[in-house]
Amino acid sequence: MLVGIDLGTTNSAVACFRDGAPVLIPNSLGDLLTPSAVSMTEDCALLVGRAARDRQSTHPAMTATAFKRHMGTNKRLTLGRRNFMPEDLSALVLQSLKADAETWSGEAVTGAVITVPAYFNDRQRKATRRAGELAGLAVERLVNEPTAAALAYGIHERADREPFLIFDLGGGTFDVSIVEVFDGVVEVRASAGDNRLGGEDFNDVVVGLVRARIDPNGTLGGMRKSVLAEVMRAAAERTRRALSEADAAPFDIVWDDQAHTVTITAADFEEAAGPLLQRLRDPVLRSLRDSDIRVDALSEVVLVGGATRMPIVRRTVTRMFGRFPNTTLHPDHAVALGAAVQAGLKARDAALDEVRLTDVCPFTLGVDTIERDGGGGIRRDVFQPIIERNTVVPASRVHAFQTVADNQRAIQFNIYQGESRTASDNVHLDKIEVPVPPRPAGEVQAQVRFSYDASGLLEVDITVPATGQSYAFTISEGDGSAGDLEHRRAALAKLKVHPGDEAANAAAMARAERCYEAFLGDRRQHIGQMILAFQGVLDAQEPHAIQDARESLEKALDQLEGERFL
Amino acid sequence: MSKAIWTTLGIARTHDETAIRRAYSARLKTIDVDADPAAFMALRDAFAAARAYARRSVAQTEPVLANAAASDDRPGAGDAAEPSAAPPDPTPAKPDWVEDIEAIQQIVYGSAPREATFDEVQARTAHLLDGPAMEAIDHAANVERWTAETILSGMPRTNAMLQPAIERFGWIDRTRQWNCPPAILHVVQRYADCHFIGSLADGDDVKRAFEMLRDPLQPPGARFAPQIERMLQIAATSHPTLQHDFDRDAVAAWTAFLDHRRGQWSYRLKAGAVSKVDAIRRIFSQRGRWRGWLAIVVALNLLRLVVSWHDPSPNPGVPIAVSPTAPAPQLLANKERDIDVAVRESLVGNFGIDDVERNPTLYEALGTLWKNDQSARATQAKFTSDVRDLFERRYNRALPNLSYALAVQRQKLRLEQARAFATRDPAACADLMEGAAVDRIPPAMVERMRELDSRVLLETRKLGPASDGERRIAIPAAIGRDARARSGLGESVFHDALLGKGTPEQRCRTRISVMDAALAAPEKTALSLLRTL
Repeated sequence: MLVGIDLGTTNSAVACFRDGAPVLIPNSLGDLLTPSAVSMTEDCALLVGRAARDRQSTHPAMTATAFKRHMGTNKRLTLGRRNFMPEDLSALVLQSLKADAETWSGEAVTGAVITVPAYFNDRQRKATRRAGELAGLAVERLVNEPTAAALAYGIHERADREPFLIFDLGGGTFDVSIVEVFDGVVEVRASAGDNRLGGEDFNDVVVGLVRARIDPNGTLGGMRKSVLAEVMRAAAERTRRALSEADAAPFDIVWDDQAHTVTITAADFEEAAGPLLQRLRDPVLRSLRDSDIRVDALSEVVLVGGATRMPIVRRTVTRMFGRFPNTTLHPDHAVALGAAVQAGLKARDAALDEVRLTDVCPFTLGVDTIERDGGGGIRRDVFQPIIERNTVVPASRVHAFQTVADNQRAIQFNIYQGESRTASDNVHLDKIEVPVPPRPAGEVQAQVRFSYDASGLLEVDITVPATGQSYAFTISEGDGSAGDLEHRRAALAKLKVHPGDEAANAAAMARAERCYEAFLGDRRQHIGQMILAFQGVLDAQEPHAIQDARESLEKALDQLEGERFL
Repeated sequence: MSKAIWTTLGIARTHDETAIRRAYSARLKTIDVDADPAAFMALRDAFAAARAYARRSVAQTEPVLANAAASDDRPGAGDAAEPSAAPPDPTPAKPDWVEDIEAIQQIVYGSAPREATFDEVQARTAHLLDGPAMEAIDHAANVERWTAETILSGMPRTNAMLQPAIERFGWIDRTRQWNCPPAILHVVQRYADCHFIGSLADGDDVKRAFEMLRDPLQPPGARFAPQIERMLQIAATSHPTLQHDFDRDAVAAWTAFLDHRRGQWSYRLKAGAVSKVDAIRRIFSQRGRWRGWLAIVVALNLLRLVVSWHDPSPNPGVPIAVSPTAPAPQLLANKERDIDVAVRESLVGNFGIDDVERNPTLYEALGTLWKNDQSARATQAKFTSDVRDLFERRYNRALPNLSYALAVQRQKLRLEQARAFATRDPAACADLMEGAAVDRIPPAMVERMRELDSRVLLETRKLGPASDGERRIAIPAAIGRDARARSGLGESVFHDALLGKGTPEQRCRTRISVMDAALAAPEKTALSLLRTL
């Protein structure tokens, strides 16, 4: 069975294509969304999902969240005494989703379509692919998140429509895509984005507002600054969500047995978030420019991503486009559903016979070159684009270069991905060299062909007409960070992960502990008693009793802290 | 129009875009893109070509966001182009931004004096760019385009618009992208040029020349000719938009004056374009040639007087000379240009950046120096002086690694000069051969020495270690014997003279004979000596 997976910064989801429609698969706790969080328990076993997320504020040194922001880098995250690369953690989340899918459907999951932000560069995409392979999934395809949302939106009615704009503001990334549907062909016209803009940044804004009032000297944290930071972040998220429904919301934390409360007004929040809202404009402008479409030619502006629930974001979008956005898609589910549609397309499901999807590459690919300027001087490190951004993929383009000096033995090409005029300011992919016969400068040509396919694989073919020789290269990771995948997969498999039913208990316990820390006085005592009671039931190991106890614990906690959000 | 396109799409040639699209989507469904990417690419190319064909035949009625627009697309110039920023307003009151735009256009294309309008243009621009209507993306893009066009077509009256526009639209970052539109590149160039003028001190020559060309108060005269010439050259090469600031008639008048001046003999003589022989010949070929003879007699006598007590401008034999005029203070912006300017102004040799490019290690060293200076926000003057120091260090480190040919040439040149000094001024001869700085070397010789020094700098790739001050000269026995024989001095006198004791004549003679001997000796024995002397 092929599934579609939305691997998000804050939450992940898995869906499959069944009976002509995409369907979300619930996890072992019964939720449709699984938080992208991994935590290590005292006995060196791992928790993935909701339980881990609750442990974020009680055990921040043992928990990792938002590791999607570090994908494609070599940053190591420490959980307890082990450290992990971000792709290992993503692999653990994917593994858990795979297990949930197999449990729910009863079939084996052979492959997956995984979504990535449209603006993820080559390194980040390769890291995502590796994460899938580490989890034991055959990654059939990486799909851009706004494209997936467009798929979920566009196949509802097969009628032709004018181009529409997908505005995807998730937990950690922001993507804009302009999509056109005609005759069942879903065609992406342009994509742009910002990899460092998401709900988490808005949480930081709230923390910034609050810090000035709660902790002006920066001394509150003492020796446990990182723990305080996590506690504040969790509280900031709650406050931010509350501000979506009210004009003012409280920010509550309990630290060192003392309660601190600040009230934040929606107006304060909007003002402090001004720079972030300003940053939303640039990708929109770029995608409109690149696709040559005017705002009034758009039929809809479709909002996707949890952070678009914020009224300040919605107001900004309305003012930007001069119309109200379309909110018919479920912001948290759309991407996973779209990934399932793509999985269905891959599996050649009969219901999707009339649907096709074409996507574009979001970044320009090119090489560095030397240019002669008007005054007779030369300039180095000039970026020469070969495949321009927003070209429909798969694409193949050629550009001819020639030698600069006499009797050059070889021509060296550095391959870059990016938009800067200075080549070395872009992301460096690889370096290749071809030998050339020694001739006077300018007499030897090299024709460089870039072939970029839909899954992001770049192949370079260089022909030197003077010798008639051709050289073919496949662009790999320049720094060999792929490492030994088999070895890593084995190491990952050896880790003990709490299975489904245990996870539910762990989740309930973690939530209880978090609430214990968050409340004071009588309520704290009450929670303490409930924890002890639950622990006792767990020790007795009677499955039915455990389930009942867990449910009543959850209900009691719901009463205390309100409906839990995901 | 290639038939293959229509065959690939499977329809007859047509202008109907919808039909072309339908053909494309029908074909697309028959292709497995992953298995056969080449077929997909061929179909896609055919689709693009057919669509372009269809669009070419139909007049483009919709003004497009990204293109440089015709004038009927400017907001405020017609109701048809007004973007749908707000829900339809029943009362047709003129929006604020339309007023701002009309006011700016009136000033910029009008004839009010320049100084009087600066503040108002600035205020109007700020009001336009900060207005609430700018929230709408279409409107903001239109305003951006209009602002760039107006700045360029209204120079120099639009100077006031530069700062607010560049900040608001982030154009400087935009120029770093490879597909930056030419209009924005020109606007940022204009900004840099205005900044250049603004950064000059008030009494600076170039600034005065700029003001004279902008507001001419007097007709062209020889007094300011060099500065004006320099200003015009700067405007022609590195700061082209300044030409829009100049008064056209003033420029024409000055250009004519400068051309005339360039044609005159006195100027050409000074510039070395004409040899003195020709000049003298001309004087004698005219009537009244006795005047020429008288002039020569008087001039020669004066010259004799002058030479005997006047100290001409110092030209030390050490390769690095001091630059007399400091360049206008400006920050480092363009690596190639800055290095070129610095290299030429360091007066080390007469080479420029093209020559430097041929020596990768030198180029790299200059590049690193430039990067460091740029991140330290140094001025061109500081960079030039740093380059000079770099050359000096490299020169000293290059000497121990000179090739035989180059070392021989260098010593021969010094020998020639020393011989010239030997009869008249043995002290200078001794100083020169012992490596001390010497003035009174004639310009022609200085020029040749500089030429050679440039070759040393440019041709040396590997540098020796930094010298630790004291240089010990080891003279091989054979050369020593030969030298003593040539000098005709006694052994102890010879030895003392080598160490710097004794009369100048003796020192001079000794050194010259050592050099002669070294040059006559075979390469193997003499090389290290020739390098260290």
